[in-house]
Amino acid sequence: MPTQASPPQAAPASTEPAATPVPGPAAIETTGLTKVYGGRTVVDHLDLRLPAGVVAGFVGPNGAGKSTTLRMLLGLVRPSSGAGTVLGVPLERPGDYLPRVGALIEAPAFYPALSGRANLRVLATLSGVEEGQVLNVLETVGLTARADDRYRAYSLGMKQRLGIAAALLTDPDLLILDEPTNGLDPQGIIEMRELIRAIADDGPTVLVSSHLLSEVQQVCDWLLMVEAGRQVYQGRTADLLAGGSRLRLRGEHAADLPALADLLRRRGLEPERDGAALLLPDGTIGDGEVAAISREAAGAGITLVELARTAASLEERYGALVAGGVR
Amino acid sequence: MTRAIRAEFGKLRRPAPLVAVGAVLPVLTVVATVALFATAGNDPDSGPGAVFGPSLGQLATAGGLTRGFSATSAVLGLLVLIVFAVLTANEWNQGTIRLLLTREPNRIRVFAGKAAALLAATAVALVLALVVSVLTAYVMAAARDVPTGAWLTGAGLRHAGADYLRALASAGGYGLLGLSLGILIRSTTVVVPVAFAWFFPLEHIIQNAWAGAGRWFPGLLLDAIATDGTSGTSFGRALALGLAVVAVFAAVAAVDLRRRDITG
Repeated sequence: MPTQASPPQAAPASTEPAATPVPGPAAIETTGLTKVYGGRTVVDHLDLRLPAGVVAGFVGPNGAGKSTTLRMLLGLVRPSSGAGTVLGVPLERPGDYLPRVGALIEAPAFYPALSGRANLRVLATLSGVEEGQVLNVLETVGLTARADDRYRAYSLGMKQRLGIAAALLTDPDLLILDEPTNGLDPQGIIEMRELIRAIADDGPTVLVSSHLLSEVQQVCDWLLMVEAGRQVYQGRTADLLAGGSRLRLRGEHAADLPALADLLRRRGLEPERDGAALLLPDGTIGDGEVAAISREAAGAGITLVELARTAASLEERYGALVAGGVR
Repeated sequence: MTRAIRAEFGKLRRPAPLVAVGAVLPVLTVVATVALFATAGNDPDSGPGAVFGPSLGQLATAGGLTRGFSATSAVLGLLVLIVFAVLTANEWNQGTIRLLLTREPNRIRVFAGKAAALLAATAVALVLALVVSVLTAYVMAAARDVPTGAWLTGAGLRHAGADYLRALASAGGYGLLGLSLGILIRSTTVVVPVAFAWFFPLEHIIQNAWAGAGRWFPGLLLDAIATDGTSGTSFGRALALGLAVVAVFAAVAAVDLRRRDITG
């Protein structure tokens, strides 16, 4: 399968902005990847392309097909149809690429009666990795002090970190983390976010699956979005969010609102009401026009107490994409 | 394959397998050996010893040294079957199968390594059980005034070696059946009662109603291997057919393992 660059893209049914093309090789690329279980299509013709070197969020609600897709990429589940490559190697040959891939799939699973260190030793032995690497990854995830405690005595956060340590054992070029913040408390989520960032700084391509959009927004610079097994968007996080940014205007008095709305309509704009404020799509309004609006409002006796560009949240953008007729 | 075997040995440090394989087997043989000597009578056709096993006179022969060890073979086999099945199905129950197969995508290699490591552990545990049984036999022989002069002779050691190898072949067969069932059923809560029910009461109940069961049922064939054949099945037939049945189970499990998605 070719690995040439192709532009990030929104799904055909959406009306989202075209993102900037990203050159370079793909860490993951699929064409028409599909999985059907008993007549139910769980993953529906996914055409994914994940550029090497990014920290990507694989986003979608529970049941969107994220885990099944990841399992297909890891050779655990056989695709019903479609093709793909991981690190340039066809999916049919997982033995050739899995040594360069680290993965944490769903909840971390280890042998409860073994210590964290012993669990990692089992995996290191199976992978043909030196004992020293066990110590390295324990240090990376901050578990050295508790390495000899039994796994069953670990907190959920420690279990997740051990799962990431296991994924890092082979010093992978591609790290796949499936819902790594599941069940963590706020502090644990923050620590996990920092850990993922620190790992990504060392060079591997990271794919983080999550249904927590706010988390993904903070960590990931690339997005693969799915809904009901189908692709919704793929591209830079910044491109997606920029497409949803808006200009927010609010006068000193609530009674100013109708006059302010009329003023904007006379300029050919279509404001939306948001409580006591008005919102305008930000994409086509330059700074000069913003200044003109401010002057015109002042001339009309309206004192603007709020005139700001607001970035859309990933949650809002995801909602807009899904509502845009992806289904 | 070597890596898979070594990784499996790493897992065997867990207390449950250690206790099950390393301690229970010797304890069972001690109990069986004590019971065998304690209940043996002077006349082979009288007393409770006639029901359970040999007379005191038979225990004094070259084969008497390991009679206690051999008497436990069926129970040992069942225990090995359950241990193998649980350790295999647990990979799915615990979700560790995902970890293993992302580190070693060759599924057959992973489970061949598991089988090899568990069989090696079983062989060691059986040696331990044999040694403990022999020591117990000497203690009980002293207590029951059984002459032991024939035990440590060439014939006696050949008997002991043959008993060990038969027990190993039987337990190995049970173990591979357990591993195959673990792969096919993938649930400890299902595989344990299913395996226990079939190989312990059901096969024997059916055998009581149909004498041919002993010639065909896998558990009864494996028991016949351990006991050097039965009145209805020769050792050779039990060995050939028993291992053939095990091979069929293993082949079916291997095909299932290669084809089925890992969704748990």
